[in-house]
Amino acid sequence: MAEESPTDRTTTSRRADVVTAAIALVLFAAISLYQVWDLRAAVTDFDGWWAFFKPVYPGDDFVDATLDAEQISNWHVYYRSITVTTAARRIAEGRIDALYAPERLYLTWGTRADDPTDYDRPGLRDVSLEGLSSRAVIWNDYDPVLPDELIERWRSEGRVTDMEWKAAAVSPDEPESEFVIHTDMDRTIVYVVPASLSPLEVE
Amino acid sequence: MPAGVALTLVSLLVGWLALAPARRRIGTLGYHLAAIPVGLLGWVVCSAAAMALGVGFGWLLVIVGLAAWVALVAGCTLWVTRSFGEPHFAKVPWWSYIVVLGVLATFSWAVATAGITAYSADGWSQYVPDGMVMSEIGKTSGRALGHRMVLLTAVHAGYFALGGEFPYVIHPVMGLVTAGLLFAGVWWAAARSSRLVRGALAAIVTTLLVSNAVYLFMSLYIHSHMITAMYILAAIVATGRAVGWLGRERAGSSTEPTWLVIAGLATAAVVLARPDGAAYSLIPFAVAAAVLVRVRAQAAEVDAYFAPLVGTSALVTAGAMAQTGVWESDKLPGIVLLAFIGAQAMVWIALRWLSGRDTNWLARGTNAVRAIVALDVPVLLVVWRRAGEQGVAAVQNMTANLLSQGGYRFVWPYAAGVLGMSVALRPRTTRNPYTAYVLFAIVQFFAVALAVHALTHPGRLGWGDSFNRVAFHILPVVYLYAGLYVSELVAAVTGQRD
Repeated sequence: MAEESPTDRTTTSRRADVVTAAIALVLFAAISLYQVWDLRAAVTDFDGWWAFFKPVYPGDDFVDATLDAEQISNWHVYYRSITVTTAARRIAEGRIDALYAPERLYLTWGTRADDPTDYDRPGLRDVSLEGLSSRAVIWNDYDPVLPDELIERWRSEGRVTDMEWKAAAVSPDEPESEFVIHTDMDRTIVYVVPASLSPLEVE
Repeated sequence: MPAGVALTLVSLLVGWLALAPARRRIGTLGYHLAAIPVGLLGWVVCSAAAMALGVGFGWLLVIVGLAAWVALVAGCTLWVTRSFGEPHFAKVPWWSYIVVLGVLATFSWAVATAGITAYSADGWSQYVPDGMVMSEIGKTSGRALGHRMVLLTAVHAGYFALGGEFPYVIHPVMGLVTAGLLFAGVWWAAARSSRLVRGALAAIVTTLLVSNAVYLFMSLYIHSHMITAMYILAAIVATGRAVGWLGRERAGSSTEPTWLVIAGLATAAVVLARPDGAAYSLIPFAVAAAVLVRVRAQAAEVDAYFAPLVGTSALVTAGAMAQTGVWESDKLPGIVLLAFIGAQAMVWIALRWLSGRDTNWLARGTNAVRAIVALDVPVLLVVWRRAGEQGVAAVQNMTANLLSQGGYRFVWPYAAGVLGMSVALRPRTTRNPYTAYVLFAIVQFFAVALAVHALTHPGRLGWGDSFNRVAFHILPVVYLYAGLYVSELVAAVTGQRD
């Protein structure tokens, strides 16, 4: 029997490779088809893709983002702190230089709401305010309650912007970066008041 | 201009400038693809300066920080390429800048306009506020560093410095760049085929990735996953390009040190991206080390990879420690990060020492990879023994999540099918040496994950489990591997070989 020449061996090896590759390509194509089902899922069931947390559309709005975030009742203090500090930044058109807050922070929220989850009147959280304001909080011993007539005047002047989580921002005539936290008589809404408009004398 | 668009374009510009001296060494496609990963890393230098000085991201700090980054990368590239001959690619065409700028501007603007994103408490309560605080006052804490590290915080800080309020646009942009890197990786892997076949292969594999539900979600998710996946893929692709196994310019006979610089920078980014980033950086790190041994790299080539890796990691860590000292943390204490950087430096010295010596056995075939696997085995045995029941629980949760509970649908069975098929059915005459290294990267990922999760926390069932999300980091590399494998098959069927 004649010996196989090197050329024959190369040809055999090449033929084996072609057959191997062809089989593998068919298998690859077959299992890849299953992958395409994910694309189908993305198109037909966009909101239910993969995760518990669904795609949402808050855009460049940190406060809107809190509305789409996990709604766990005792996390509302975080969302309210985000709203208060974001309101201050929007008025300042930049960073907050000072955010005066009452040492007795509980003075900014009222008695428990009827809602057993306390959803309607979330409080504020000291460390959240400090962190989210970039450490601009200055604790001060004052009564944060504003007289109703002052709030009414600001509202009639169009200075008050109501925000989510029972927060409101009071606009000054010019952007400023120092603020005082206040609340109304019922301690329902927290007001972010520019220092120039606040009845509290701050240095 | 929306802040997300500005962040994208500023990062692109920084990347372009940093790589400008080397653009003809890496070609038009490589130059544009590497620009965003290199540019984004510039923000971490701003963070290092902000932390060291205790000041926020003012215009002066941002301009000086980014300019310093451009000078460092450009200088490093010029230094390592000084004895590597003339560039071998044609001039980067002017219109390619317009195309890349147009694509990124349009894409990021579309995302900004749509306002689409996804996040959990990790995003809104940590990655976003941490970036805001970094941007405004340059402050961090041991907890922030130990739990979130620096990279994404720095990128978010850049977003705030450019006037944004909720940083979401950059995440889909990183998803786009990841898809681009995969397309280019397969395009280069299929260099033996015609342009039409290369384009088709690259398009098919990239479509398989971007049609993947997990990829789509991670492109939106405000977390460290997409940025880590992007940099791991960038490091693996850059290492393959450096040695010429992706593409056919050198075919393993020498390296292009500019690509090694990019691989080193991408590995440093993985270190800085997450608290477990240092552990997962061992994947691109081990691949690069094995490749450098395989090609009998000169000392200058070893420096090209390690100088950016160790330099960037050390620079940023020094900036953080200037503010916090050696921080304590239940996740990543500062001392552990220092030990990792020290270990990288030791390997650098060892490989430099090897570069002037006879490494015949180690440099042959995939022996360097085998040596690393041989080192892995006793380490994993010790980890397994120490982890005890927790290790078993971790493995159970990991496998149950990947195969059924974690929401990956067909992804991991698919990956297992491709990996198994590639080992069983593989043509001999058209094998690309880099296929073995990419397969090693995938195996190494699971070895590191096993060690991390068996020792730290066994996890839980469901998509939100830490490892379940972390598993995404290697997914683009799995698709790159599939692309490498299919390009071998096509070359065998069509009769093309080196």
